[in-house]
Amino acid sequence: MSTEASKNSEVLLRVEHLKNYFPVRQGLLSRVAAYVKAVDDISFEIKAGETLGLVGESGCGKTTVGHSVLRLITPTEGRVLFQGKDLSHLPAAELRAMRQDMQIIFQDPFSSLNPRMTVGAIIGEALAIHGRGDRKERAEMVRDTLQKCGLDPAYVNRFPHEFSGGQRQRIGIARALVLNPKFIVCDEPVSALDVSIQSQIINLLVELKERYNLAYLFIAHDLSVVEYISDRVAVMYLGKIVELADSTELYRNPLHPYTQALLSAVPVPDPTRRKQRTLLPGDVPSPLNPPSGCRFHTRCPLAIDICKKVEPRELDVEGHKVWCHVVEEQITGSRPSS
Amino acid sequence: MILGLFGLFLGIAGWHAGTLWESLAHTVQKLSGASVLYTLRDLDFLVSTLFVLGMLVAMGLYSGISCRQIQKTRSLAQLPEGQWSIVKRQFLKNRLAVVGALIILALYLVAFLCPFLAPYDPVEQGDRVQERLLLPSAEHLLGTDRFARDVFSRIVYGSRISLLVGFLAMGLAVTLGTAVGAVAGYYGGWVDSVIMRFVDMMLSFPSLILIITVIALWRNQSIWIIITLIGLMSWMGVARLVRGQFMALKEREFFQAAKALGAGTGRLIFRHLLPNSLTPIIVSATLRVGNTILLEASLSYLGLGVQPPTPSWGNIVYDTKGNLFTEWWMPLAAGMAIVVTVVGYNLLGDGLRDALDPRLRE
Amino acid sequence: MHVKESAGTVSMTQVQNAGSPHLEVRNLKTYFYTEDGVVRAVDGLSYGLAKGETLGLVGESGCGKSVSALSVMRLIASPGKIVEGEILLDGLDLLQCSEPEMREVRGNRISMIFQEPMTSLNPVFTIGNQIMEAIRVHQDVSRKEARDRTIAMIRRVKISAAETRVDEYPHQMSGGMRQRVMIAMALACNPEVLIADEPTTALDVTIQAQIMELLAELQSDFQMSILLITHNLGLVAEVSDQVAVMYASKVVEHTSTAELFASPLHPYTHGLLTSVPTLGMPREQKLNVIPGQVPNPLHFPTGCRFHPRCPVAEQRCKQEEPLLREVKPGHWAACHFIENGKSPMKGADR
Repeated sequence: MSTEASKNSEVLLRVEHLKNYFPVRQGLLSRVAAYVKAVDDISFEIKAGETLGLVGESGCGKTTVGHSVLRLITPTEGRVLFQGKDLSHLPAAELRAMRQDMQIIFQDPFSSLNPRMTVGAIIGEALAIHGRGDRKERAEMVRDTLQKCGLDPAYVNRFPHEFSGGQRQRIGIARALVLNPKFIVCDEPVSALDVSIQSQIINLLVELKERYNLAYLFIAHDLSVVEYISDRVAVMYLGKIVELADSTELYRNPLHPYTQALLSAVPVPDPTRRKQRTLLPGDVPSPLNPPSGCRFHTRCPLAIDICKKVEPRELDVEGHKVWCHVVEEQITGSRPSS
Repeated sequence: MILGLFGLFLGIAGWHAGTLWESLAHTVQKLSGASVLYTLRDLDFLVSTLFVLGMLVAMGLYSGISCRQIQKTRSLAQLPEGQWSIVKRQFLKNRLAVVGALIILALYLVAFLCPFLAPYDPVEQGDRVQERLLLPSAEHLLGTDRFARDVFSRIVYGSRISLLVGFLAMGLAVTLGTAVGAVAGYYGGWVDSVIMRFVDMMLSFPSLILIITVIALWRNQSIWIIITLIGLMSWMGVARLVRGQFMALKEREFFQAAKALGAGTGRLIFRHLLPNSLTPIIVSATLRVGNTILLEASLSYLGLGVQPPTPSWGNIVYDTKGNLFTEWWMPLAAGMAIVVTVVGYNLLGDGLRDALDPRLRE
Repeated sequence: MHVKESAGTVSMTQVQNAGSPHLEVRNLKTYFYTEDGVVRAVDGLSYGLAKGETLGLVGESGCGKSVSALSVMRLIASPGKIVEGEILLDGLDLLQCSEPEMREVRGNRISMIFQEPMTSLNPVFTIGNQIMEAIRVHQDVSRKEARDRTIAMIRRVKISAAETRVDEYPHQMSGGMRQRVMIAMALACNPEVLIADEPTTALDVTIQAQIMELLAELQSDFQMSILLITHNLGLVAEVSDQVAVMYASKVVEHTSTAELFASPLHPYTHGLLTSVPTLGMPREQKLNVIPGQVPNPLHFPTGCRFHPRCPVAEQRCKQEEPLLREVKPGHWAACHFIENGKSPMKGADR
């Protein structure tokens, strides 16, 4: 639907060769013993009004990507361009101004709201920081935003502990929305919620996106939720993107063996569709010491010799990008040279 | 509720400031040698009366506010319980904590109302021959000491020193500890390493010996110096606590959210980190007040603290320790006063921790 | 032991047509007496679990599904109390058992695995030690034999290099491995019933698939019944034979898995099924929403507990509590408006 429209529109966010290494310190002098390569050289872009889904299992680095994009963490290497400006080298004052256009919604509705502040203060804080309006106008904006997020404006004087998980998540959304941003990172926004509450929040996010032409980076591990909400989807494994394509294309025609396994592992609430699974052996290796070559080769059912030695390169099949030696061989017909 | 607490806090602080003023006036009088316009006792009565009046006004104001709040609550129809009223309810359920709170409250009342409660001037010496070492009687509840001073009056007045030291030394320690811990916890990295190594170093000094040395070198045993020294030697625990809290809170998502909103350092610390660290700070401060009171008593007992004739529980024990086998009630009463105060603060601290905790756990 | 028929509830012996169930829970009530009031965590729960069968117990957080499992194990600690009901394991009422008798049942005839494999293992003992303990509590075997059986068990749950892994500590293993160890521990004494409380919720999808595959395999090997407690409808659809849907401490619908997913009759079940996005679902289709919040177990709504959120609720639902009744052969539901086996919701048949 909006994929067509967004193809023509401007690129809002461009991430180029983003790397995030966390030093592991050891010993008395805290020498750096090793690096956790949480995010290792990934690139993608998000257009205005577009939703990019980012899926992967725990520890694959998807949350780190979300935080790096907003520069809540400073990337080790690489560039994050938001509306053409490189955030990773922006001075503090300019960065603060940029933050009005980019926001974040968190996973845990219980830890994401300051328990000592009222709902009104939580939502109004952004307005106060950026000096929007006077006291009265701000209160009006807060009430307005609460309403947009499906909450009673009379809640402004209450504290977070008085609300249920779903309502708290709405407060979190209101906080992100009050500045009218162009881009929101949604970091697992529904995975901590009850099943019957999840759909309320998903519908709200979809509705807000359409109304305000928001772009989302939607980070989640639930593949069905990501499919439902995203225009394009990137699959991450151990700090790298292994496949990136239009949502429908990716789910209908997954090329990478990891994506295939991931999709086949999702239980479907329809007993008539019990399907044959591709079971992956073993566990996700530690990002402290990722496997050489293609990082997936230790669990991959199709792995060939070259996978252990050479990192696969990007293969772009009409916008469907995949990083896999075997797929490359199948599609281009030539064996990649080592 | 918060307003009431704040008022109480201000009252206590004000009173302590009053004591400071008193002693300043005393010094000025002594230095200038000017004619005495008013005696210390007069001033004392004045301060106490003002306090009683102040308390009455505060109570009236508080009840007025509560009434208005109740009306407001009614009009808003079943507003859910606020966090402070939950804490209050939890606290009141804990009997021992209430006992602790009552002890502390009673002690403060005693300290405020010394002039009304003590039958004699605590420093005034009676007839050294006839009124020396009297047995307890209706006139002298705990008898008199070897300088023929009324021991009961001395113990009543001694409460001022203990509470003053406890409150001010802890206040200094908490302020200092919070500031240091906040800087270490907020900035982390090498700043944190340097500060925390310094804290470790401070902790490894035996504080009592250090204080004794400084006092001995200073040759000035003013109560203010003792308070300052005790405060300077007991902030480290608070600093560690605050640093730990800040570290933990920095991982919480609301802190990340505030950063994402573009909040600056001041806002992050004072709106997000500090208010959420307040609970453990209050609890630990309350629990540590007992320690500082003990420290002052030890110093006074060693003859290095508050100097006679000013009464402090520590120096009363010191003064009367020679009479331990004959007039045993004198050191015992002073000792009991210390024990009851420390226990009271500890019960209060424990109760506060339990009452404040469930809200943190959520 | 006499069987008491409490008024207003349906005994599953009447309703279960497929022989007598191996584990049967009748009108179970577990209340927690807290300072704020009585939390009716489980309030009149009944179900039957046949031998070798899997029953999925589905519901949202706080609906009482976990408490009901702990009640079966009689592991309810103060201020909680099992107030009423019967729990029959092959005819033996567990609620009448003494504590020593109960210890014979726990881990031996009924075992349990939990959601958090990180916290359910003791970090200071090797995994071998913990499995051995589970064996030696119930069976009089030598250390040597227990160790051999432990290694065999570890192999059985498909942990490679069992001989060396047996001496590892929990922190040396990944989440998936720990859950395997938990399963090995639970199955060490060949139990008749396995209660799996959200066994894969803390795990990644690919690991979840491994664990569910393993459980299915072990179930047919050991001929055991599984009570699978979960909020994941997909999981239930894939592995269970029967499904009971819980809402606000009660079962609102109970039938075979195929029947439930093909024609959910209770409005809550219908709402649940249509509110989760499924793979391949067209994006234009809006997700169904169950309005409102999950009720607080301190103050359940009167009448039908679902009525404040129910799209078809009427005055009657506010006053009269619907009973769980057989609305169709082999299909029980608790709703006033199910007539002739038809759901009150429009377009409920999928």
